[in-house]
Amino acid sequence: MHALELRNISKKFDGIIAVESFSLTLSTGAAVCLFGPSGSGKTTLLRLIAGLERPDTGEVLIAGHSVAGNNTWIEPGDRGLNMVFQDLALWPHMRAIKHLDFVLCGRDMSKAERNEKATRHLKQVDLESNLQKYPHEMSGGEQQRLAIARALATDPKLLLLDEPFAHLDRRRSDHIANHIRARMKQDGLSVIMASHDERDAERLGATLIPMFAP
Amino acid sequence: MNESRHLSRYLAILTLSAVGLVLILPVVAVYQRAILTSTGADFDAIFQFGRQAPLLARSIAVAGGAAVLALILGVWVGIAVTRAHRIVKIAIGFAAGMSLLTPPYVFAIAWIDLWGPVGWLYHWAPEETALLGVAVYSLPGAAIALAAAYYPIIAIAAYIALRRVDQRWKEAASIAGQYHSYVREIALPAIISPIAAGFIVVFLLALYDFPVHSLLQVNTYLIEIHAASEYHNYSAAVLLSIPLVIISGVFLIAARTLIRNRGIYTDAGIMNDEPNSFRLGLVGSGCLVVTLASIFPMVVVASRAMPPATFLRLFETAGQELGSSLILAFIAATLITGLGTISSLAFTNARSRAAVDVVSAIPFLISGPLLGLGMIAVYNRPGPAGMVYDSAAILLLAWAARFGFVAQWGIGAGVRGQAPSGREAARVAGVSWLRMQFAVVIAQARPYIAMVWGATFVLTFREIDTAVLVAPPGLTLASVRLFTLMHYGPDGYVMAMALTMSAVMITVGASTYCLFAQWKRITDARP
Ligand SMILES: Nc1ncnc2c1ncn2[C@@H]1O[C@H](COP(=O)(O)OP(=O)(O)O)[C@@H](O)[C@H]1O
Ligand SMILES: [Mg+2]
Repeated sequence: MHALELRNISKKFDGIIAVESFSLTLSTGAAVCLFGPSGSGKTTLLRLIAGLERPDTGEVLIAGHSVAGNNTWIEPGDRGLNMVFQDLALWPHMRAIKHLDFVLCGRDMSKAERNEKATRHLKQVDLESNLQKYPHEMSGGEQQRLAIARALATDPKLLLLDEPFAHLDRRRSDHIANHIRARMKQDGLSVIMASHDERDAERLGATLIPMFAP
Repeated sequence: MNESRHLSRYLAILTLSAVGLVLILPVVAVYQRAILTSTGADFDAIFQFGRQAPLLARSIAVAGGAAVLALILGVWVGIAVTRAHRIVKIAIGFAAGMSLLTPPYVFAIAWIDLWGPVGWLYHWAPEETALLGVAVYSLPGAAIALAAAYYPIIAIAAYIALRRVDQRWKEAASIAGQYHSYVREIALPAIISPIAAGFIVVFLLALYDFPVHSLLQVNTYLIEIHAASEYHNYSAAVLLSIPLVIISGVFLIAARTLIRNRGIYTDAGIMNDEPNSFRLGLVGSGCLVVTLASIFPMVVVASRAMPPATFLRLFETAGQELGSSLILAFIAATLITGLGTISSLAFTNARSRAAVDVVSAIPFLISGPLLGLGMIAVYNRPGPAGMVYDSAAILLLAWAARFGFVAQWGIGAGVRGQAPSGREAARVAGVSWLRMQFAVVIAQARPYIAMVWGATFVLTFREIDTAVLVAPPGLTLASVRLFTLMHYGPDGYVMAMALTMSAVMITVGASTYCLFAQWKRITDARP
């Protein structure tokens, strides 16, 4: 079974084509990298998969279930995925640990369990000394790692990464990439990332999928 | 999840639409009554040029005079503050903020005390001086009182504008040999737009300030509308409000055009390299302006209010009024802020939000007295409406209609400023719509929510225009009581009351501002 399948997805914004008749399959535990210049529709494609945009035509299947197209629609939160946004989308008024606690809330966990899990996830991305910091008190790299930890904390089956290593130096990038790869191996996490840098794909062992500006 | 998301939002929209209808109903009712009851004679009377021209002239003269004076004072102080030392900056900011929180009618009574027959200047001036020639109850007096109350708006606008013109842009531009086009294309528009907006805000506030026009006996549209409302003369009241609405409409449109106009030239002193003595003079004169415009009137009021025994007498005899006002303003501010918050969540679509923005300002723009008459038209009847009319609820409704736009605009601006991806991140993570609204949107907008609460508290606590018409029997508000007493002239008791009320508003305003600043530091921090 495929973790993700896109069948002839198209999306226009005010008549401007962002994605045209795009198809893709991603096996469970594997990674692909949408690779192309700025404006080639990488972000739009990730947003279509996440359910933040609706495709004009085509179908999105996640773990074999149709989530968009053919008159079906599953809300983003019910697709079993999570996403790291290009602008990180951190919440300026929440401390680092609160970011994770907040997304874990309402998942049948006690306060102590949530706290334990949040701390563990932040530790895994080397943020243990930043638990009580607000995003604006953290460096660009720390913020990026917080965004990744928040996305992984909900135990997604599919992880969408939009330019995830843009703010990280090489050593950090490798470290985070290794962490994500471990999750792919252990938990069968599948990854689809967008990048304009081939090295990002190498780090995750992702298959390159070239994208072209229409 | 999909369902609950839409359900909560539709529920919010439905509730708000119902509330909005209730709040706009007085406007509809007063116009409907006016159409039903008007006679040809009404129209004849209203459209007599001889009657309209002086009203129009006086209304514009008061508002324009106040706005021009406030512009001069405000820009002066604004420039001075950019050059001032931190401590001086804070002191000026505090005095100007105090000024803004003190109701203009307190400045009016200070003016009356200063120049009137029992006033300081009258007392000290040699009998033959020109000072005696000053008419206390005059249009210039009203303009001065209003300018003293509102110039901080322009000072803040000017200060922000001047700060915005970043030294680094200027350097970048002058290195590239583009200095003049930089000044023309970037610096000046950046300075002029906020100041122009401030000017128009002051003009409109002065145009609509019924208590000051009334105290200083300037016969403007508001006075006539109030008189017509007291006699339940719907057609006259409505017809007299039309020029006001047109003027404010023209000004609001002018504001938009002016703000976008990039061709106006003025030398607003953006250089930071002037000699020290010039700088000292500038800051010194700015301090002098603040002292004269903001502090001096308060000193006049305070000195008249002394001895302290006056305050004891005040609390004994007007404690009830002050208490009612405090409680009602508290409830009203909470109610209005709550509505504004829900509205900012419900109307996420730009077009519907713009429509709600415009509609919410209508009850204010038809003027306080006319809104009061509208409340009478809707609620002064037997049955459940009458029960509302005879209770404090009528005041809450009137204030929610009159000041709802403050919450709608203020909280809306706060929410609009948030990055949409923050909401999307919560959505993708499976956070429910309602929890996301509370924990992400509202929590992030809390500086604006606090500010709006403080502003609506101050506005309702000092409100007179509508309350004087619709306050239920047996309930006297401090503001209305003070307003009535003020007409008999300034004495110790009146001044003690004015000072006490100002102190309440300054305390609430300063506290909410501190909360705003503290929260905004976190929520608006950009990495
Ligand atoms: N919400 C939107 N409204 C209008 N146009 C959009 C929107 N989102 C993306 N586009 C357009 O779609 C195209 C693809 O953009 P995007 O997916 O962001 O590309 P990339 O991530 O590869 O840089 C661009 O031309 C962009 O301007
Ligand atoms: Mg992109």
